[in-house]
Amino acid sequence: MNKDDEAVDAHAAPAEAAGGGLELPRGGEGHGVAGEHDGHDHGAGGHAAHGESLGMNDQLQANMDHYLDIGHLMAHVQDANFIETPGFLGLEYTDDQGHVHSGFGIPNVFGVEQPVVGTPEAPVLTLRPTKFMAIELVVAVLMFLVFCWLGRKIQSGQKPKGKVWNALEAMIVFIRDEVARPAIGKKDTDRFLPFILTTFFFVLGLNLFGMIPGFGSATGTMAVTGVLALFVFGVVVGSGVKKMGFVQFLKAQVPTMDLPPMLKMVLVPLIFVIEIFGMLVKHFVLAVRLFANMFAGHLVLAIFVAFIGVAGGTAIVYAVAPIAVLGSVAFSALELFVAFLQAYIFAFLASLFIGSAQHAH
Amino acid sequence: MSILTLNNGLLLASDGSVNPLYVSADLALWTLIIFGGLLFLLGKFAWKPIIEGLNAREQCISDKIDAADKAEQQARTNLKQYEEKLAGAHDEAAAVMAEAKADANSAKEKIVAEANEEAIRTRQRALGDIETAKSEAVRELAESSVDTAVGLASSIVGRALSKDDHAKLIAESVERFSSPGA
Repeated sequence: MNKDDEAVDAHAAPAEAAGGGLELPRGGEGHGVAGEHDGHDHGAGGHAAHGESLGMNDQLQANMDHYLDIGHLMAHVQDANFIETPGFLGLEYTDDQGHVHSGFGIPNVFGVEQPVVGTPEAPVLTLRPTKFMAIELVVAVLMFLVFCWLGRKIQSGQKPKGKVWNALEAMIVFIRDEVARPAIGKKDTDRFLPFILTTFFFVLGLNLFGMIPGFGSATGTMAVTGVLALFVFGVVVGSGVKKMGFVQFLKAQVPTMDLPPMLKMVLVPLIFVIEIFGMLVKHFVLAVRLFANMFAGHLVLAIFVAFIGVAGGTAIVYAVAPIAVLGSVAFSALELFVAFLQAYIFAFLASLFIGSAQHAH
Repeated sequence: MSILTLNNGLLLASDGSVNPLYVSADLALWTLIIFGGLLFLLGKFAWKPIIEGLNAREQCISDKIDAADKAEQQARTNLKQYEEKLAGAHDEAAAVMAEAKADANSAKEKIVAEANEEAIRTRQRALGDIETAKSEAVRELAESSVDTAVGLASSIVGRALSKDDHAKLIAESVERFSSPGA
């Protein structure tokens, strides 16, 4: 997502350093707050001045402080209310604080200027659209269009034709036969298949969108994966309660134990608490696993490209840049695999949890 | 949990710190709405026809495989029957051939036997005819000779012989001709 921006930043950072004399931006203090984040509005012409005033080591140190700063890296992988574009496209977005970014803003379609919950200084719910919201909407619309089309095609009774139709069917049948049925059982699978398929393709869509430079992966945030895990939790508990009844479902959480009554009276409540806690934890971990994988992957990808910026303005950039580009290409290929793998794992674990809720402990 | 702020256009924690675990209430709410809506819409308009269609196709394929298995079983049974029939037909053909040969031989023998009998009969009939003709010829010759002799005798004797005389003479002549050494 960041290659082009980083390339642009490679020239901007030294300018920043030069503009501020030797007051170089330091990690942790500069990039999480307003006014020092972007590298696009620091003015031109600093590169030459910088080259003259700083040695190579100082230059590298300055670049590292700027490009490998966690705030700067995070800016490329987390949510924002604009979408980054390469500098050569000439698109500019000015944020609320008046800072200019290379990209375009997400329109404030709800027209809400003040936070709905919280204060302007500490907002909780703002209803301001962000790029991840836009990506989710695009993925949802695409999914709706594609699968409605597929539904009509399959229902027509024709033989599957074309790459898209076959690929989608292959994935659906794989999820049904290799993920859902073994975990839930053939009898109940069809009831939960819509949820599992929606989860799988939604996660996959968001993961794949993260591969497009400038967009970022919405599944790299806890807000998204947390809500998805919450849905899984809801389905697990809801289906379990529906099948066994509320009390029986709670009872089923405790494994059958052949113990003396006295010991049972002590152990059963304890195990019940542990099991309920375990259930909550495994759903939390479901969210964290997806978030951590996608977040970390994109952060590593950002670091790869940031090396170009680190070497910018020095002679070693000609050696570092090709390696960084090749490395990021290779890592992108790995990320593409991870995008499918994590979607599969999420759907697989959701199926396992649902399956386990259908049967007594 | 940190509070969301729009710092520098980026959603960061309000204290400026970087917190990857930060949960944006806006994004969470939006995800809830989008995913919930998507689940409902896809469940109604996409997954239902897709799952039903795939199940129907699966059933159709399963039925066809069953039908193919049955057809193969039937074909094997038929093949076995046909092979048995074919083997029977060979035996039958050999039997028919043998019978036909036997019939032909018997017919041939019968025809030859009949032909031989017919030839014998024809020969005997021919011999009989020859004998009859010979007797007739002898008789006619004797009559003619008698007539001639009577004529001569009449002319010599000068008198006419009566009818009884003629008959007597003929009988005598015939007897003479017929008798050996006559």
